Amino acid sequence: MSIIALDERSPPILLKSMFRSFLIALSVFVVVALVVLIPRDFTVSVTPQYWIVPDGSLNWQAYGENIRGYVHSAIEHRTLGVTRYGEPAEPVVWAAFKISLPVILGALLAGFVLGIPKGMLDYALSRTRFALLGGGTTWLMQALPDFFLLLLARWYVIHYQGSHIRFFAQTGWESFVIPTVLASIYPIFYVARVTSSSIAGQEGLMYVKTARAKGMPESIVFGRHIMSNSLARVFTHIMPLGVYILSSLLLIEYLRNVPGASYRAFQAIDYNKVTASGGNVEPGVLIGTAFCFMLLVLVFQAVGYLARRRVSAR
Amino acid sequence: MRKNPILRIGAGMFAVLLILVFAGPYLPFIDRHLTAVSHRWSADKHLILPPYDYSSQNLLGSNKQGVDNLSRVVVGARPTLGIVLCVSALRYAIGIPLGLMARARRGPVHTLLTGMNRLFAYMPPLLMIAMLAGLPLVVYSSSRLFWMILFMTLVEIGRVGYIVQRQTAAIAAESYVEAGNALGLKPWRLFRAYYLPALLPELAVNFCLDLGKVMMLLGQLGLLGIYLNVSPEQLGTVGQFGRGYTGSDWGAMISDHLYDLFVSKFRYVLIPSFAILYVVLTFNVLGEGLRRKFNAVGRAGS
Repeated sequence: MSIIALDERSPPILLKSMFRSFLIALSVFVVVALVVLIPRDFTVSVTPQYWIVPDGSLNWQAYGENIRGYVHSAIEHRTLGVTRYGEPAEPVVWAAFKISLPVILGALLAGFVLGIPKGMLDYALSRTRFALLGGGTTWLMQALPDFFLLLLARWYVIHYQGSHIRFFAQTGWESFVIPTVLASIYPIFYVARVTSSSIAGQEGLMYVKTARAKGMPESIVFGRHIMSNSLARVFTHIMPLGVYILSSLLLIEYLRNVPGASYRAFQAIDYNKVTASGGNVEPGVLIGTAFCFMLLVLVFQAVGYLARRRVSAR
Repeated sequence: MRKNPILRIGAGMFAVLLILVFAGPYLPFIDRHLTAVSHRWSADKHLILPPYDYSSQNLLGSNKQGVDNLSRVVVGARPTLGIVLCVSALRYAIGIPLGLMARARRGPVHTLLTGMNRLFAYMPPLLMIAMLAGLPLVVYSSSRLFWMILFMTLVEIGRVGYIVQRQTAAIAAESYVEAGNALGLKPWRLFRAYYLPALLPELAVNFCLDLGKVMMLLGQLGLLGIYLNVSPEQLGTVGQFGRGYTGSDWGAMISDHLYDLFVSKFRYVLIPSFAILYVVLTFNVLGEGLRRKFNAVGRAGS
């Protein structure tokens, strides 16, 4: 059964909706660029008592210069900018994105593949005395703060293991499996909750009653009727789920010290608690990363849109 | 409250938290002034230097300056929860009017909400906050805390507005609201007597969950080493260019010990993390309890 089957009547409306999304995306992109290009310079003055007083107030003229200079060099050299090491930003962003992309897609896939059965199980258990084991665990796992789970995972893998798992691996199976497992914890339980509640929403609807009244076996009523409707509903949640994975990526990469898209962007901010973001800010990398994320979110959005059309067509 | 054990547990956990915030610093085994004990003598006259291990004097040990960890957690509870409450309240104070204005799902406010939600999808909230928190304007400002609260508020206003918008749109379709419209009631009256009572229960639940989310954000920022607060003195002396970060919130407590994390000492980071875990769970349990309570009321009423 294909969930994301293209409806033949949909293209004009899809195009219009996508065009509108694209316009919003473009303006949002400009906002990101404007934030990235805020000048990071500050002046330092020394008092007669030799105290050093930094002054970081915003210099609007320098800001204007910064934007003008960036746009000018972007048009002239056809590049987003250079990194702190003098390389062009695009290959750097792409290399970082290639590290993260399998993890993002893997976590999304794991979320659906493991979350849907978990949701069905939660629903099946919801009327028994094991309800707490089903919906209860789902609720608990969603409530736990992600950074806490990450810390525990790092602590556990480093301190207690006989299997010699390399937590910081940048190559080999661990480099994919560890971040994917960590990134998929929340999605799995999110999908489980959505699945079980959308099954519960189908219960008692006319078409289900009709099917039962016709004497269909329960397995067909559940598998063909209820699940096919619920699944489409579950897939409408792909965009919030994808966005969640994107935003949880930073801490996973940060704690594993892997320069994937998010952590590379964090490095590009050059955050320093003492000297502020200094001269090493890499606007090109930040803008490039935001662009990659934008494309990915637009893809999620399109899939979610198709799923929603399928739901409303029923 | 009857037949709603979850709400009871949540209320109990919340009560413990309140006691910790208001009475905690005055408990006998809590050092309210967070004194740094530079050294101690053992019974057989041996010099003991901090960090002190777990003992009856330091139930959770101490940090490298000799400050008791348990006292830091208890004393830090008040600023931490204050910041969390501030951020959540601001998000709702701004998000609710925006959501109400956007209830028709079109118009400039709707576009603004959509734009904000997209913005923090393309630039994840943590990255955006890190980017803004690193601006010299914010690093060298004596009101850094206010800036940081503002940023933490900004990243989620879109989501709050979206929740309010969705619910208001659902309420607007109800026939009693149509009746109110037909009577030609003024917008304020419509809002107060028609929308608000239907909106309030769900908002209370979401507000509770949001408190948990902000608490989590505080921990995440702590883990990235992004302090929220800064000491009033601006600088060091000749040759020393330093910034004092004095925040006693739990995020700052995590940030203080990031280097221990790099050498695989987890204790100092895990202590405030457990405190954050407790608060996040409290607000989640409370939110779930409230949801059940309001659902039960709704069923009884219909």
